[in-house]
Amino acid sequence: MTEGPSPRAKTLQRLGRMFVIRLGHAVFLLLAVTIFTFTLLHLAPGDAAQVWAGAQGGASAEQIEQIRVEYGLDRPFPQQLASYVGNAATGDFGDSFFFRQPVSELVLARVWPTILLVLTSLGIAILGGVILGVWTARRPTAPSSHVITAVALFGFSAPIFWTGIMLLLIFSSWLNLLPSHGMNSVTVGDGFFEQAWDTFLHLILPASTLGFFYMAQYSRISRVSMLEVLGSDYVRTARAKGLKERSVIWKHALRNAVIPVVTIAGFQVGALLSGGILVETVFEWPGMGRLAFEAVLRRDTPILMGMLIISTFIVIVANLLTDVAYRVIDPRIRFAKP
Amino acid sequence: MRRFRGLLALLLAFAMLAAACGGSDDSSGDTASDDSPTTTQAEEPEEIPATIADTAAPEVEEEEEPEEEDVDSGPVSGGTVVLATQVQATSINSNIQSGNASGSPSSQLFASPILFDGDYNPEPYLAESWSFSDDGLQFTLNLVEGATFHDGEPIKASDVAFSINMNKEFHPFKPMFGPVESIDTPDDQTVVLNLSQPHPAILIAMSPALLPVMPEHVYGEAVADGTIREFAGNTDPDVFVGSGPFKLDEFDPSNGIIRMSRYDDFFLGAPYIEELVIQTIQDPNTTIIALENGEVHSANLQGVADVERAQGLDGIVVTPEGTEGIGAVVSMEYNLEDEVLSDVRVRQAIAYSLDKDFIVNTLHGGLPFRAKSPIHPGSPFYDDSMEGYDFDQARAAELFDEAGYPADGDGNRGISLTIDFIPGVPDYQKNVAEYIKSALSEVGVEIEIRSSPDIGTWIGYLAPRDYDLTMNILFMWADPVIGVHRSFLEANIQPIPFANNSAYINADLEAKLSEAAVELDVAARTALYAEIQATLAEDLPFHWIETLPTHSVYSESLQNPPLTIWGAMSPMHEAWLSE
Amino acid sequence: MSSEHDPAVLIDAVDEDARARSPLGEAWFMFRRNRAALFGLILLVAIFLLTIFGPMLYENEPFRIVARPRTSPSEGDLLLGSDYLGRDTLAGLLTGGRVTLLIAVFAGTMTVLIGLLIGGPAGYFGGRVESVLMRLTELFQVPPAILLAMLVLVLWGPTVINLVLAISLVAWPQTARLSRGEFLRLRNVEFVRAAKAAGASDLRILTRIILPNALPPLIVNATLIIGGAILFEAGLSFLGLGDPNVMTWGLMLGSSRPYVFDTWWAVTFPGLAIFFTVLAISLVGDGINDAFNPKLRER
Repeated sequence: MTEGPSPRAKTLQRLGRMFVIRLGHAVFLLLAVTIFTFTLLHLAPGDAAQVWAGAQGGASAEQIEQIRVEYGLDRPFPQQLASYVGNAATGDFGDSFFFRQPVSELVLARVWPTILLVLTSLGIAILGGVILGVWTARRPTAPSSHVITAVALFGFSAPIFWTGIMLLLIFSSWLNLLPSHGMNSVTVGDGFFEQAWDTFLHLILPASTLGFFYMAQYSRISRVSMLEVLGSDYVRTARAKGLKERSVIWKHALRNAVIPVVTIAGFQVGALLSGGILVETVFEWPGMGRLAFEAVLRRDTPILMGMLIISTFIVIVANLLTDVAYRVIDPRIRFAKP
Repeated sequence: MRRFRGLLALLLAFAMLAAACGGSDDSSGDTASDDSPTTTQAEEPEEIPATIADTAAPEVEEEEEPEEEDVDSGPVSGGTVVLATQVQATSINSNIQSGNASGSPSSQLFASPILFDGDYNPEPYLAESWSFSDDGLQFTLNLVEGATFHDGEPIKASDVAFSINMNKEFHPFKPMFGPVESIDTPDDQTVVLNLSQPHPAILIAMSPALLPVMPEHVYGEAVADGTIREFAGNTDPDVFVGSGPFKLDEFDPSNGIIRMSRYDDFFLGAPYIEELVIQTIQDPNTTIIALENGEVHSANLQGVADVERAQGLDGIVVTPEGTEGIGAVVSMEYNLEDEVLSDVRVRQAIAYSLDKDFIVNTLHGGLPFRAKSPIHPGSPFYDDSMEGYDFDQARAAELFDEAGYPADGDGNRGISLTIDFIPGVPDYQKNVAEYIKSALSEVGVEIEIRSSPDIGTWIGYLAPRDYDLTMNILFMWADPVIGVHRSFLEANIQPIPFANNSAYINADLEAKLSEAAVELDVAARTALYAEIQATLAEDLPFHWIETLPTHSVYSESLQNPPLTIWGAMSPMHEAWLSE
Repeated sequence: MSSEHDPAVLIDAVDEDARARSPLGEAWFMFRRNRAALFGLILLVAIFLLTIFGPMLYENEPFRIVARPRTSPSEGDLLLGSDYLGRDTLAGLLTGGRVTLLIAVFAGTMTVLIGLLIGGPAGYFGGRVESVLMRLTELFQVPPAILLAMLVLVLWGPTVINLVLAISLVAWPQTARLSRGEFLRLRNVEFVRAAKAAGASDLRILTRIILPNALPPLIVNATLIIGGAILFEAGLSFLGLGDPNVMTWGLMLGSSRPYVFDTWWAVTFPGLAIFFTVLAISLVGDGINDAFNPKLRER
């Protein structure tokens, strides 16, 4: 890949082409998910108008007919689908039954807290996972490795909301060290640093809960890739050259062991969002997960559908970015040089 | 559409209530039940001890007596009070929406003509005095002078009339102002309501929870074109002008936060509390931690474990007061159109099979009161002598046999029914349904629990009467005319929730209900309701079980919270924060 | 990374049996040497035995109210106390465990079946078939799993069957990808080519030759899915989407959660049951993986 007159330009061109293809693919996927969601709703038992009416307090036959007209349910399914997809394309997912506000507004207001939580958790999981993974890869048979593997597995084996409740009990209720719910205290002052600190304190428990859960996975992945790297020729060469073990591990092997972890983490944003729903519910974190949970309790289908589509969008974007990033830092490109 | 909106409002009211019940900890949101959230009623601070004694009323175990410490230090001005609620408000206008979630902020933001104490006694608020004409067809309010809206304009008789008309048009509870034919305002301080029939319930309808007085010069247009129902129509803090002790600073419904600050020119004097925040916390366990940690000052709890746990905390006051007004009664409703259940003997047999003593005292730790009728036991109209179907499996077996459902060799009676429940209040809905399943299996009746993940699904079963048995919670809203009659009127057999969903028809009973609605003499009215309750016990369209024991839970630092029949839906202008 | 070194690949079609035994035997040998995996296996067997025979020996009516509500383990006769309704926690654990494992095994089986049906042909045929099938897979993979499952349960109602369907619906794409990878790899292996050249039909090649060789990683995958299904079921119950007529660990956990502070036993024991089961499954899955992984074997 490095041969040729201007490898860099070539690489960029290749990346650009790939990006366009991926983008088209992503748009297609998003459309498919929208259609799928809408169809799912229509396949559900019960008359949609009746269900919507029920969610809003019930209605007489005339009123249900009125709803049918108002929401366009009297039109044939393809027409309804087309108008939903058309509206969704412009970011209009209808109004929430409960809040009587546009779904897009409601969801967008919740996106940032969720992204903050997910990214922080991801950071914790990657950092912790890689450290544990490298440690155990270096001494796969040492007792400490078994202990670490076991602890990591513990995090992965307990229901995530259960871990959250336990942390809440310990750190908020018994020790009274950390706030119990939300993203900010309602009484916090206006100063930027004051607010940031307050958010940080609120973030610790939910982010640790979510992070701990995925740390186990990442430690496993980084252990395996680390083992592979350590067994590879170039590490053997480095060792043969007399490089210090520490330098071999942390400078050369580690960098390459991190890549699969980051890649997999990037592709796992969807799973993190799933875990986030449970964690946000436990800690009342004002993100998308909690909104989804509330929407379920109120059968606020416009929110549920909008949320599904918007979170799919986030996942697709995350996958796309990971994909591009992965190719940019493709290990083979990197290996070619040293 | 209008009616539909009303239903929506009702549903929301219910949802809030339910949430309050289930969640336990929100102070403001849920049912009116607990006083903790919002303080104060009309009592003066000096009266606190007496007040508390009075209001302690019939209910139960207060673990800690709220009060007396407060008396040594006088009221202190300042501070931020945080009230937790389980259900977020989508509206802060109680003229268009019922329920605790809107009633709680609405009662802080708007004043109303009359307040009520913990024993249903009316007290002056915007109205200095009031009177009924001798024939009961005119009700006159004399307004206090010098009261102003938050924009400084005086509160006039025309604003009260405007608010009543808005309420009559938009509020789901039509019986409240339905009999009001016209309103005269001979001068700025006098409001005369002309009634089509005597209407004793009008007095309670003057409460802050039911009739916030709003400025016509601000909202006149929105009411005229109907946009008052829209989100922006009544909630935008930029437009917002209230009449109560607190002004609106921020309303963020999707995050469930309402911020208010005191109105210094409030006609009863500036409130002590400087800032009042209503915050939504859904999990009662979290609310309790937040109370313990001082993140929250007041909440409503009704979950058994939650209330018990709060009772064990230092510095936290737990009191059952403040639930009478909303008057929530937990019941099991029968679908009388079901072939099996249409036989009153089967309904009675099922009632005998359920151990109410176990439910109230063991399952729910004695927190609720046994309620045998739809009228809340805290109401003067409740008749304790009515038949309650005390647990008697032998009697149940006899009745099942008589009705033609003898037990086979395995004890099965060949009856198989479903039971639904309202989601969100597990202690008093799902858990009771689970108990009923267990108890009825002992007498050979098979029950399947249908789980509704959301209220809409439950209503989807209830409204079209696509159910056999369902757990239910009905709210009296202070006067039976508002919240009780609706369940038993033939005309109200409609595909909407909280109507006559059991399809119960009894013309004699309806005649008595109409009579009771217009009877101004309390003793005569009580006697009528006693007859009504006896008939209902006999016909058994519902099996009433217990009250919904919402408790006010508040930090000791919150002094003089309102312990009225409306609890959280009472203005907090006399509460203060110590330390 | 393990796939290329998977011993299954190296199996020669000519005498499958003779050779299959020896790698399997070797894998079992490796597995036995892995103490964690062995521990997991013993734990798993114990859990299965308890849930199969426990309800026969002990109370099997987990919904019966047998004691005062919220009796602690130390107070009454019940070893693990009673829940908020007075039901026996131990009876719930045993009978509920059986149902939980059944749900998980059903969901795991369905997941693998769907995954195989979609991923197998995609990998084997490639081309247009592959791109259509993999697009379909992606469609199900991209939305956050729990949201999709919630939507299904809200729309169709939280019954135990819908629970199994919802879990399979969100879990299969992973298996499909794995199957595709395996089938893609195996279709180019010499013995498959040989079979093709000999005129074997696609169906025969798929089911008789490729499938048996693709099974080991799929079995590992299925065990992990079973563990995941247990956690997923608990999560959905926690969100209020459990079936109240069917006792499961998730339901016990979800419905006792409001009482976590003063009825800790009703929440702790089902939580521990889930924890140990999932742990055991993970350990066994890891053990199998390691046993088949020659890299680790060298070490």
